[in-house]
Parts: sequence; structure tokens; C-alpha cells
Amino acid sequence: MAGRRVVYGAALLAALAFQIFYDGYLAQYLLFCVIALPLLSLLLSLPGALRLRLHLQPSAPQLTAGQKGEWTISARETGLLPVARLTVRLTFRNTLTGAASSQRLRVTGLAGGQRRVFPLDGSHCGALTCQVSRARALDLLGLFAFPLPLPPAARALVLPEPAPMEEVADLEPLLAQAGSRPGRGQQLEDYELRDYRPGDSPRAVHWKMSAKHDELVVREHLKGILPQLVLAFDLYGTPERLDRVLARLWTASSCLISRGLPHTISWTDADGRPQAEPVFSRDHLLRCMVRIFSRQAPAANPRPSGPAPDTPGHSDTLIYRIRAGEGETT
Amino acid sequence: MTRRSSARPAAVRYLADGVLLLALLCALALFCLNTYLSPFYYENLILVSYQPPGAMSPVPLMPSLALCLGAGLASLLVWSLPRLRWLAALLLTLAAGAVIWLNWRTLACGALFLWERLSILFTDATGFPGYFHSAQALSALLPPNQLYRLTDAQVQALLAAAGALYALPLGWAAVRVRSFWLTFVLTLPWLLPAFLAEIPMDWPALMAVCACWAALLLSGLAARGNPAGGARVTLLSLPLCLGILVCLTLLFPREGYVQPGWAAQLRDELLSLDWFEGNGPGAGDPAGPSGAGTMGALAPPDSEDLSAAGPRRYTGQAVMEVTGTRPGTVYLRGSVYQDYTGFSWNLAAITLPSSLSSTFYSWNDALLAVGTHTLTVTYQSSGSIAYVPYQSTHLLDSPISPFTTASTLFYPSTLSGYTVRYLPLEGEPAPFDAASPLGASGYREYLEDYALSQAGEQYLSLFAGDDGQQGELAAALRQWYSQAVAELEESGEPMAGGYTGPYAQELNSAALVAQLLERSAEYDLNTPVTPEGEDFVLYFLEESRRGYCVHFASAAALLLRLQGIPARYVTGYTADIPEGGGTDTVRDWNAHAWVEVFLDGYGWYPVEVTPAARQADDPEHTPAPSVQPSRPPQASQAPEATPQPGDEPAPEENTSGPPLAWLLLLLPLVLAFTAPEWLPRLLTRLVQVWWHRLLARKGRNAAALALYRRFASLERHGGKTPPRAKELAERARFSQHTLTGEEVAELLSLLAAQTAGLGRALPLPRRKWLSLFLTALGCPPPDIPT
Repeated sequence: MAGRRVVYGAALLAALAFQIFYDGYLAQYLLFCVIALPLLSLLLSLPGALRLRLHLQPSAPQLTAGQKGEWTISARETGLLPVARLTVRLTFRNTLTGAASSQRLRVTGLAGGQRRVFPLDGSHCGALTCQVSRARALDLLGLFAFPLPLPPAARALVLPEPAPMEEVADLEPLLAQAGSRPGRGQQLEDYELRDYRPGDSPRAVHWKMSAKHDELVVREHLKGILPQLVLAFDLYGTPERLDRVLARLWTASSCLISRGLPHTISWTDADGRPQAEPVFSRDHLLRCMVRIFSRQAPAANPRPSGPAPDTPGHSDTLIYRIRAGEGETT
Repeated sequence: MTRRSSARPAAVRYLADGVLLLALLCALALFCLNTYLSPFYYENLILVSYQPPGAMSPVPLMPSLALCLGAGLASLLVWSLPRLRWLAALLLTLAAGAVIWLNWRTLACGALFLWERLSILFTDATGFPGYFHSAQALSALLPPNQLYRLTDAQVQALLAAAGALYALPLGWAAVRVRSFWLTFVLTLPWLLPAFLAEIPMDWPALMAVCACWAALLLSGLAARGNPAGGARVTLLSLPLCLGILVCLTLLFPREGYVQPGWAAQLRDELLSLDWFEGNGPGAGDPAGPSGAGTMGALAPPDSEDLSAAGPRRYTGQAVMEVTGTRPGTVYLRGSVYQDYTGFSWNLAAITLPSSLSSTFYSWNDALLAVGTHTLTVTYQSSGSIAYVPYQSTHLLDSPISPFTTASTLFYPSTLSGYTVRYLPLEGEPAPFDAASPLGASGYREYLEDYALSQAGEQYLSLFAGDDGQQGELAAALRQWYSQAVAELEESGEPMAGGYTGPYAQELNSAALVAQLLERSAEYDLNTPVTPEGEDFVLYFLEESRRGYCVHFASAAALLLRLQGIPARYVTGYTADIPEGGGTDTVRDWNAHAWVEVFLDGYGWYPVEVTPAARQADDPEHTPAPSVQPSRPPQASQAPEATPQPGDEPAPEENTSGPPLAWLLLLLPLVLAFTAPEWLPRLLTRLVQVWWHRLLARKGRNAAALALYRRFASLERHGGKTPPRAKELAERARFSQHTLTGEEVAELLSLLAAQTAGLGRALPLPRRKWLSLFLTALGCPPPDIPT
């Protein structure tokens, strides 16, 4: 566009000089033509630019790490005349790893509906965002740029690929310990009440109390009686390390869910504050992953040296620490 | 981008390309036929053709256009082929070549015929001595003793062959490559000669070519990625461009066009800079009616082009500095013109017989004893035309013939000035007799032997043309003069004059002419140019009745000749030497034109016929009023006919503003470019007025509901109405409670937060409008990225 503007400026100057130094009618006529041409171009381009709409979409909202996907940006223009040129700057970002990149898209002669596909980087776990940071439509002469309304950002989750069970083989003793069910009498007496959360079993609903409080209340067994399982891990490191840790976490949590064992996933965020998310079902696990992916993981371990953060509660909490590799200490 | 639309581009594209190419070809053909082969130029010319002679006639338009259309269609077909385009182009070229080979004699004769026509045209338009006579070439081209006739059919055949050959590269540039620049380069050479030779162009064809250029420019970018879209742009923009060009022509008509004042002023200012050399006094005719002169010329033009005498514009550029010993106005004569052609004055052809030279020298030597004054002229830059006062005797210490100088005096351009000796004009002129120091020796001989014979012949002719036109001009002038005199007598106004000396008749006649001109015409520096085809003087006297020194002097010269008084048109400068002697800077507005009358026994005497045009209200452009001319060359001693010293140098200033059409065009442009400045203020003010009226008439609850409706409009763009806003709106709508000012302000801030939150999702106009709206209502503008 800059080149076209320079050429037009030169033409305008030439026409002006011609008007000044030549006293014939042709000089004035050419000057008017040079002035009128961009105005006509604006007039012809404006309807198309006003009607142009952009839309962003991932090929799938959830992918597994390593799986191939794509972003699709589609432009819809319903005018008679094409949009001479559309320039779009796209920004791609993985929130967890902090990896970001941008790409420019230039479409000439946009008419009707068109779409273009960009590869979705699903090599590492995380929450991927694709956003149009700038979109402009040029007029027919390429001298003026109309800013376009930006479409909402598109998002996709790249979930970890489940690790082999062998990598979490040491979970078995914990499972055996957690599998000892309390006696019938204990189960009836030792519980506490809390608000209903999606995913809670209907059998846990305390209907009487729910009727009294006019909202659902569920019974939750006390931890002292039913040992609480905690899957703890450190959220830091390179994307590869994060992939390994999250893969093991995913496998362990899925294993616990498949056995009907509620558990808590605990980690330390980038500010060093302990975070915990109870997991009762696969939906809870997904929600937990979204929460994990929502912030960039630091390069170094933000947790101070010492014992790993435990879930506050009873002393019979069973903690399983997820490690990235063999050499990593817990 | 993957295209989802399944439009068939071929049909639209072929249609657009065909329309563009054929329009371009036809427009060029029309332009060439009507501009270069117009019968206007040949109607009076006898063509000497080989055998038998025939008159040139215009080439018929329709066959030529049909041939262009055919060639264009062939080119379109070739370049629209999906494959083997170059092969098809080669075949077409070979076919054209074969046709040329088979008919080379016909085409060669057509080319010679055409070349002869063009050479006539350009020789006529530019004066280029390159006239081509086809008969000479034909004799070499054709077998001996063969009769051959040059006909228009040969020209037709040549044009057809040329069009077929030219359509191929043009089609390649416009259809295949779709390049504006290539097309421009291929089409411009057809138009440029007409512009350079200043031949009247065929304007409709030129407009069509310009429209094709504009359509190519507009569709070029879109067509790169989407040929069908580009074709749609071409089809729509071509008629639109043509319509706009026609509107421009109607809005700013060619007839009576005068270069805008700002452009002329800017040009003068630019030329007065040091970047341009040769803008000295010798670089053109200072009193040229165009006011621009021919910058850089070392010699004056052979004629004063009166048809270009339009509104005068000056920059105050210093031309020369004149230092004199005698105070008063001095007329510095530059060029003398003799023949009037209706639209120009031609330079006088004055040559002195060599036998008179010796007597002149002796006469000049005698003058030195009388006591002359000196005048030193210093030019601001190099030049060669010497502007000398009347009764000059010596230039650069060399004697000159003061009363019969050649039409223009020159001095060596290597000098920056010169000193001239002269005898001031004092009192009424008297014949030089033997008793007079000026009448000594050779001058009287010259008057009797040479000057009188010349003045009696050339300077009494009204018109340098055929006798019929001279007769018509004389009749018209005579009628005007009689009527003007009758009106003067009826008015009771005394006739100017009062000269009683030996030349009373000539001088009183000149005074009367000056008086009649002053009565009938208005002095106006913004006088437009004389329309084409009109006689300059007659149009001034009978139609426009306004003019400046050029008009008055031209008319007076003819009117004096009509009465048998030899008169001629003179251009030069006036200088006002201050009291006590000193230097006066002569600027471009001191350029002037006046009349000289021949007085028997005296010679040429200057007569001022330009009336006072303005009072000395512009000290910058007017000579100092305290300086009185010592003896201004007046034709009349009567006060009413005496020219004012202030107007003699014709201090002229451009007072004309830009034409209305310019304003009409510029106003929207100015408004559009300054819209970011004034439009937000206007909108802010409107919103404020609306808000205050709402609060005053309907109260805060209605205002809160109006704000709440904004939330609803934001929901279309993804916004969510905050519960607090809904609560406040419900309270305003349904409860008896009237919202407080703080609550309305809270609603406003919620709206601002919502707007800022939506950020980029909102379209730009809506984003700006909401920001403006909130600002106008007193809310801090939300931080919205733009």
C-alpha cells in the first residue's frame, strides 16, 4: 500500500505541477481526474468493505497432543464488487507453554465466501488461541485501508496423550489402600454436607436438607473415614516435560475415575500458590485441565524446596506424586 | 484462500476485457482520425498528388472504426485462448504481414499520403520545416511512367493494417497482462504529439481513453486474485468513469478557460526563485499580454499574441533597477509592433539604409553638445533586450538612432546593464528644424528620405490580411468611432485635446481617441481572454468593453490609423526616477503598452491612451504619488483625458478569487479532510443537547432507560447486560423511585465498562460512536483499542 501511495502522491504532484506550469485546459482536467479517481475508488470499495465479515474456527475444540488440526479463517463478502485486498494478521498462542507466533494473510480480489486454513500446532499440551489482531480491507486503488471488525478469538484444547499404565505402576498400592470401604454404620454417620456440584451422584443428595434449604445439598463422607486421594505434580519446565507430567496425570486420574475414586489434583501455580481441583468424573478432569492450561507454566519450579503441597484435611490423605521422569525427585 | 463461490469467471471476464479493449481501440482511432486527420487543416490545401491531383478529404470514420473493432476482436480472441496464445498471435501477425506484402504498394501509398497529411498538420501547428511531399517519394516508389492515384482507400487500408498490428500488443497489455502501465505506455504516444504541437484534440475520444485508463487502474488490484471480480469492477467503473469525466467537462467547460489565479501566482513565484535561470528582463516581453512572457528567451517573440491576453497577474518580481539624474516618469521602450492580424501584433521590420549611418553618427555627436541626461539600467539577471528611453542618443557609449530604432534593441548579454544617454521629452513636440540642435544635420535627411516613406505605408494599414477583412475591420471601427463621437457630443462633455502646436491635429486626435476609449471601456486587469475567432480590438470595443493597456493601446493604434495618422503599438516599461535623481526598481507590474504616432518632421512620439484604472490605494504596486512625471507622453492636455501617472505602469494585481466551480469542488474535499477535527465536536454537542433535553423534559428515569437500551444494542455484538444495570433500569421503569444522579452515573460507568470490554469486537464506527457518546455524557472515555 505504501508503494501505491507513493506512486499516487507522485502522480498528484505531477498533475499539480502541470496545472501550475501549463496554462491549458488539459492541466486542470488531469488534476481533477487525479483527485477524483481515489474518491471513486473509495465509493466503489466502501460497500464491500462494510459487508465483509471474518470468522475463525478450529477443526476440533479438543485434540490430543500430537494430533493434527487446523484453524480455519473464513471471510464472507456479499457485495457485487470484490474487496480489492484483505490483509489479516493472525496471532497464535499456547497459553500453557507461552509459545506465540503470528502470521500475515493477504487475499487479493476477495469476493463471495472464501476460507483459508492454517495448521494448528498440537504438538504440546495447552490451551491454544487463534486471534485476528488486525484486519483491513483496501480500496480498489490500494490507497486507503478500512479497518474491519475483528472476529472473536478461536480456542482449542490440546489434551495430553495418555501415558502407558506402566509409567504410573506405583499408583496400584495407593489404589489398594483407597479401595478399603468404610463400614455401613460409619458411612451413615460420618459425613458432612455441602452444596451440590455438577457430577455429584444423585444418591448422595440429602433430600430432606435439600427440601429445607430449597437447594440441593449432598452428603460427603469425611476424609478420615474415606481416605482422600491427591494427585500432586509440579507445573513447570519445558513443553516436553509438561507433556510427560500431564500425560501421567491424565492416565492416573482417568484410572481413578474409572474405578470410581474421587480425588483431588493438586499443583503449584506460577506464583507459588497451591492449587487444587477435585475430580469426580471426566468432566471434572477436563475442567481441571482447562484450569491448568489457563496460565503459563514457569520455566523453573515455583514451589520452594520442601515437602510437596498437600491438600489440607485429614491425616489419612493419600498423595501420589506425578514425576516427569525417572531421575526426578519427589 | 479457497474460493467457495462457484461463479463462472470466463464469460464476465471476456465481456469486460472485450469492452475495455474495443473501447480503447475505438477511442484511439477516433482521437487520431479527428485530431490528426481532421479536414479542418486541409480544407484550403491543394494536394499535389502524383496523378491526377486531388484534394484531401477526411478519412471516413465508420469504416475505420469497423476495422478497429475487427482488429480488437481478433486480438481479444487470441489473448483469451486458454493455450497456444503466442502461436495464435504469431499466426495473426504473419497473416497481417502477408496482407501487407501483397498490398505493399497500396499501403506504401497510403503511408505516404498519411505522412504528407501529418507533415502538413505539424508544420502548420508547430512551424517545423519538415513538410513531406508524397510526390517525390512516389516517384521513387512506383515504376516509371505509371499512373497512380492517392486515394483515401489507401489510407483506410493502411489504418486497417496498422490497427491490426497495434491491436495485438495492446490486447496483450490490457487483456492478458492487465497492466495499466503497459497500456499507458502503448496508448500515450498517440496522444502526446497533439499535446506537444498544441493541436486541438478530439475531447470525447480523449475522455474515453482516460476512462479506460481509470477502469484499468481501478480493476487492476482486484483482478490479480480474482479475474471475475476484476471484470465486474471494469464493467461498472468504465461507464462511471466516463460519466464523471463528462460531468467534469460540463462543470468546468473548456470554453473560456483561464488558468486559476493560484496556479499562475504559484508559477510566477516559483519562476522568480533562483532555481530557474534566465528570468531577467530580457527573458521575454515584459508587457506581454499573457503576463508570463517567454522566460528564458533572449529575444522577444516575433509577435505579441493578443489571443492570450487574459487576466494579469504579477508577483512583484524585480526586473531592473533604473538610476537616473532627472526625476520623473521615463518610458522605456522595448519592442515596436507594426502589423495587426486580429489576434496578434507583429514586430516592425525596421532596417536602416547603410547610407544613413554616417549622418546618424554625426547627428548624435551633435547631440552630445546639447546636454543629455543619463540613465543607467541594471538588470537583475542576464538579458539582452535593451529598454531605452525616448530620444536616446547613446547606448553603451555608442550612438544609436533614437527615433527610429529597430523593433528591438539588443545589448551584449554578458553585461548586467548599460548606460544610455537621452534627451527628456519636454513640452509639446516640435519639428526639428535647422535651428534646433536636434534638427542638425542628418536627422532631417532621414525623416525626409526614409522614415516618412515607411510611416506612410506600413503604419496606416489596419489589418495584415486580405483586403476584405481589412475593409470589414475599417467599417466596424469607423462605425464605432462615429457612434462614440456622437455620444460624446450628446453628453456635452468637452472633447479632449487643446494642443495648439504644429502637431495639434495628430495630438488632438490621439487625445480624443483616448477620451473615447476611456468613456466606452472599463479598465480591468481581470479581463478574460478574447474568445477564439473574435477580432481582438473589435471584441474589446463592442463586446467586452473592458481591458488594460494592451487592449487600449491596440484599439487606439487602429483608430488613429483609421484617421490617417501613422501609429504603432509599443511595449516596454515605465520607471519613476525619484526627486533629485536616484534609483527606481522596475518590477513586473511596471510592464506597459502604449502607442506611438508619427509626427511629420519630428518622428515617433509616444501617446498614453490607457485610462486610470485604479487609485493609488496600493502603495506596493503603485509608483510613489509624490513622483510626478517630468513630461509623461500624453496625448491630451485636457485633465479628463490625461492619464494618471499611477496607472501608466499598469500596476496590476490579481483580485480575482477562485472560480465558483473550484470552490464547489474544494469545499467537500476540505470538509472531508477536516472531518476528524469538526465532526466529533459536532456529534458531541448534539449528544449533549439530546441528553440535557432528555433530562430536562423526561427526567433521570427516562435517561436511565435510554442508557439501558444501549446495553441491548451491545448484546448483538456479544455484550451482556450487567445485573446492576438491569436492576437500575427496572427500578426506573417500574418503581416510583426516581433514580439519583449517582445512580445514573453508575449506569453510565457500567456502559463504559461494557463498551471497553467488548473492545475490538465492535465495528469501528460503532466503537467510536459509543466512545463519543459516553464522553459527551460526561463519562470518562472508555479505553477502547482502535
